Amino acid sequence: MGHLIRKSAHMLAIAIDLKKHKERAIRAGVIPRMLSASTIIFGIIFAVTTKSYFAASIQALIMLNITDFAAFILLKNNNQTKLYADRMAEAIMFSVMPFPWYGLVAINFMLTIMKVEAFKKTPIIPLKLVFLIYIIFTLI
Amino acid sequence: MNTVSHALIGYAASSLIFGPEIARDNIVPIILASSVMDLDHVAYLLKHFKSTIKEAKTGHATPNLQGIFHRVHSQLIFMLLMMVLSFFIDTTLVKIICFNVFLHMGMDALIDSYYHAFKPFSPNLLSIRIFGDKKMRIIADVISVPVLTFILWVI
Repeated sequence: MGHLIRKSAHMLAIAIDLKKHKERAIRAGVIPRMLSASTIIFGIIFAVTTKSYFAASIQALIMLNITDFAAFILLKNNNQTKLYADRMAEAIMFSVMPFPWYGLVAINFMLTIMKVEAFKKTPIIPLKLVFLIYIIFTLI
Repeated sequence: MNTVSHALIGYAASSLIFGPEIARDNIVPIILASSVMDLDHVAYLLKHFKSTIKEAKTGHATPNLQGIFHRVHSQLIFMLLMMVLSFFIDTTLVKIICFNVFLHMGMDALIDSYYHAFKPFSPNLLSIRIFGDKKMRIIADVISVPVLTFILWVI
């Protein structure tokens, strides 16, 4: 049975030619653009839902992290757009909660400028992930 | 996106987040914060008036239209300024200003054709363009004002 499933999955992958479709979509810029847009849109959704519907905001944050992860896998040709879209999403999200987050977003802006200007290996703080962990700990 | 729709979106989003009463009380800071960023277009428009009108007719927004306020480094300075201000003035006002400014940037990044966000450091253009290149962007720009006004009027 397992062998049959594996074989049919392999046949399906060959039939729809997944790799070719993925490459074509990345070359046309559809996937990078959609992912960059989705980070900003999820940032706005998070900022809008964070006060009134806490559960909805956590769901939006989880979705945001999933899109980020998908972007990390798929985006390889459009790095600066992704960097800027991520900073925008963070700034929109954390403009609702002042003190430590404003500073962290500013540090992230600084790191991004450094990354674009000179040192390509500059690490950037995964602020959304940090915030997700912070929310989980405060809930517990 | 045009300045009027930025102000309307800012007001609608602020009334969703902070509540309609607070948004109504702070209507001036909301409108100022969501539209002042566009002042950097004025310098370019005055210099290249004819060419800008031609570009508007064909649907191509020039990437040089976005001036100094639409850059990453000015956003960094603004964020630091807001962090310092949050210790001295009302936190709600700081939140309202900060949210509206970054909502403006986010909408511009989503909809505008091309965007030099890292200009002094990198000449690369950013292009998310969820509404495509020409026609859809202009239609969205034109329709957004009456639609948003109607939504705010109904609310």
